[in-house]
Amino acid sequence: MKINVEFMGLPMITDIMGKKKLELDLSGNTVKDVIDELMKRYGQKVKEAFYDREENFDLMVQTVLNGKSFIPADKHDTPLKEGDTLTFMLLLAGG
Amino acid sequence: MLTPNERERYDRQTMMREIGEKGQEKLKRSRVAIAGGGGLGSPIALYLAAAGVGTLRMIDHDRVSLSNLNRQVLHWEGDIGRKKVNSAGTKLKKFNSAVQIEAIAKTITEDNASTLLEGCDAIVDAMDNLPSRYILNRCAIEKKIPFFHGAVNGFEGRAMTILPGKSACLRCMYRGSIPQEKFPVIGVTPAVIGCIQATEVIKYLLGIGQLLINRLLLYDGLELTFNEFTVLRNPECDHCGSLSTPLLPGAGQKE
Repeated sequence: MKINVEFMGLPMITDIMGKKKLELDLSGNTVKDVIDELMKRYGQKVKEAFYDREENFDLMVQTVLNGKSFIPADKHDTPLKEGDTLTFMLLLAGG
Repeated sequence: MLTPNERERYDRQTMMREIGEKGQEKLKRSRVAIAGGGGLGSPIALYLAAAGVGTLRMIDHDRVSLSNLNRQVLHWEGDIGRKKVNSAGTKLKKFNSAVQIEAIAKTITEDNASTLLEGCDAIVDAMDNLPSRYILNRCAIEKKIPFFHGAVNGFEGRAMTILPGKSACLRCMYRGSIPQEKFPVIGVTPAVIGCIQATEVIKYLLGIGQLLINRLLLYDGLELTFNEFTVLRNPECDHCGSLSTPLLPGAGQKE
């Protein structure tokens, strides 16, 4: 299943990947499968960007499906469809 | 009624069909709370004062420090150590002496938010942390006062307008919390986002245009792009889920 993945303002990930958008050919079908695939492909540094030391998903990273559904960390089992776009972006809190 | 001085001062905006003298009078009668007198609060306050909003309630517990000055343009070198609300108030009064400034040097908490925001027509989010934003969001919803969200980091910014009970709120999007940390930022980013928030406030007060409701605006200064995400109202939202959900009109007009 092909999933489009894009990153907004997460240089700790995109610097490793060397790009901000990619198409993943996924064997699984959930948001978690996408994250697992990215960690498998790009290694420990990407894992550290997604998860803290206690293996909790980093709350600074927001996950958005098709530019409209914000998917909280406890809903990473949300199923995806062929052609879906998953955006990972930094939660901004500064002012 | 506008004075002859006000007619001249606001001539370039009252000549707009959408504003006119009646609109200017509405701005003059309005009271806007600006929660935070820093990077976002500075341009928001300056441009609302420039536009002739009658009363600005500035809320910030902090004092000016040297490292604020790369972005908090209401505060200058001579203000270091002063309370931000006083520093801001001095500049705003010199800028537009007719604007009433209500300076409140307090930390916004669950306990005092309702009192601090009492009597305001709009609440503008110019905070530097997520927990305070949640407090403002909840309070705005409880008091049914429109809430104008903005946030920045580095060259990136976000903005969204929240009409309680009518559009998605901050909490429909964000859950959980993150620690308050020192964040990177260059002054032009809160300038862009703060001006967007001020634009929204002015439109809301005048009842004109299309508001940024159910849409999260995403600004990337490095790529120089503006994008939008649709934000759906969450019926189970712990802040706004209990409010009724009437159909939205074409534009978010002031009631």
